[in-house]
Amino acid sequence: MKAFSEKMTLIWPPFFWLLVLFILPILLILIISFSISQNHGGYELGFTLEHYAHFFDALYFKIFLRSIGYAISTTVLTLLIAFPMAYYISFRESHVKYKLMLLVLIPFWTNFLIRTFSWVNILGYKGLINNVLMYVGIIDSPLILLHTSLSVNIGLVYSELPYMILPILASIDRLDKSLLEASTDLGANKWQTFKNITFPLSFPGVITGIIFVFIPTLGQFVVPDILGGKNSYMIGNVITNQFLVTRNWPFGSAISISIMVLVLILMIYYLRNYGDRGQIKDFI
Amino acid sequence: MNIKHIAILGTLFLLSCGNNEKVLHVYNWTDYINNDILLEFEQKTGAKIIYDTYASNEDLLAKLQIGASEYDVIFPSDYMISIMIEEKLISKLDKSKLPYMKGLDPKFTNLPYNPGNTHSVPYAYGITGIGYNATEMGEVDSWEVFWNPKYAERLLLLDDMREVFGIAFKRLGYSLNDTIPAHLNEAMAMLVEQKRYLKKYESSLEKDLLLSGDALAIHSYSGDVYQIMEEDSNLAFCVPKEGATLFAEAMCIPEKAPHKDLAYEFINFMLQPEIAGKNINEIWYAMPIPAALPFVDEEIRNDTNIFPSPEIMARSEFMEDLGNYTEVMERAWSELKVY
Repeated sequence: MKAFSEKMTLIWPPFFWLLVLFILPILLILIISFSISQNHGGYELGFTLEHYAHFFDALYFKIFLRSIGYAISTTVLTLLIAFPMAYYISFRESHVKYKLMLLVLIPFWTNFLIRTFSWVNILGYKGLINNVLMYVGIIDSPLILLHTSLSVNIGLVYSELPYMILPILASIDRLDKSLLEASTDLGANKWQTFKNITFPLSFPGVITGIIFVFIPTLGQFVVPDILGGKNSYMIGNVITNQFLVTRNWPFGSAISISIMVLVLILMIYYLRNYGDRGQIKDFI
Repeated sequence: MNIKHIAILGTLFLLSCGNNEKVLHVYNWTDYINNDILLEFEQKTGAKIIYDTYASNEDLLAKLQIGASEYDVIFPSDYMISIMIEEKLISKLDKSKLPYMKGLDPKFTNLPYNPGNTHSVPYAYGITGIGYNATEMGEVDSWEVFWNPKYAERLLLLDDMREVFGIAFKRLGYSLNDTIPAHLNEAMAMLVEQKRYLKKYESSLEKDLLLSGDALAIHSYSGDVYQIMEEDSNLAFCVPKEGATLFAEAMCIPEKAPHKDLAYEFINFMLQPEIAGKNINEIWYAMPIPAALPFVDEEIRNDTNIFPSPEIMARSEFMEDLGNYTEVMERAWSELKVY
């Protein structure tokens, strides 16, 4: 009995944390999503599925598909960049390794909005890239780089990269290096070792990285707002718009809940089918 | 009496001082007041002004609806004033406390957004138009410029439903406040075509993008463009010949304002001709106070974009709340943005 109450004492703080900061807000959003919206931004408690039906019409579905597209391209690109970086960093001597890890983290010390704005100066009409290209003589007149899907992709990859590097780095780092020696001793070349040992063992990190990057990207609204152009509207922008401009909270909440459910289904499917190399599968 | 008692008494004393100090919380648009006037008011009354800014009427509405109760004077625009009266967020004015209201130009009082100015005191007004790089584009006098393929990808329109549809309505010869669905379809087709040349719908960085050269022409507000024209002499502003949107902000006192007396004093102070003149010189927007004109720089006073000529006034309109039709337009607007 004593052991039980001790356990309860230990469980309370995290449980309380989850309840207040996670479960209650989601419950509130859920309640609002079924409420009836009124003129000028108010809502009245009630039950209607109208807002959910509204979300599943072609218009918003198109934006949703575009957001998924951006989330996939961002995930793939960050993975392609982050994996070699994590691999390189994890095989350095420890003092070099920590310096490199610090370099990955330093951008976090600056506000995200400011870092995104700095891309406006880099990609702009009279920005850094155009100036350098014109100075070298590669182009005669500035290229339109800003406010295109290219600039949105750059901004998204830039902002999400650390979230991909760190989990992969952690999993490669934890890998028992004697396995690699054994593999070499048994005559495997570098590629075979990578393919059969390093890569499979880094898989849990890759999965975590994919989740860390895919989900936040799906809900992004700052990057498409600042770096995007006329065709960069993402589902996150629709939600912010419903809360701040159009002031239709029930509709904004319904979109948020729908996306949460869709992402959850997507993730469960993904982990069931591809997550079996880690232990994540046991959790679901 | 030991040290503990002294500490407690000291704290109580400080707290009571804090309560006696006169404080006025002013909540206004960015770059929409001459800061020297705030200092002058502080010196005159001994009150301390806490000054805060917002970027859109919707931000302001959201703040008040959530229950913000610290603001004493706010500056909502025309259509938002009607909404705030309807939502009971701003208080009915006691005009005996505002003697300088008599100096307001009758053309700007008693407007449809608040007949009789029961809840609002006209502050400043302006007009939307085109801010552009005259060195690269020559003279511009029509909304047509936003349909010119030559400037593709370097044109910005405001991220504002009413303003954007307003341009199309004006080009088609309809009213800004048109509520005929067939006309909306025509406007929609026109704007879909325009999107080929558009860079983006932008309502916060448009002036920076004009200054940086990313944009050649922007859809913006008169005074805002004049403020950046001081930084770059290549830039110019025009009110298109087809007509444009007039907008007016008014000073209001929120229902929950904690310092209403001081708020009245502040509003009355802003209406004094000399103060208004100083303000106009700084913000590049006109105030409807004829007696202020002698205090306004000649260059500003004679500029028909800032003090619109009767001819410009004739082809421009104030926006009116569209009521239920707003939803129809919002639907078209969402489609346009995704198109």
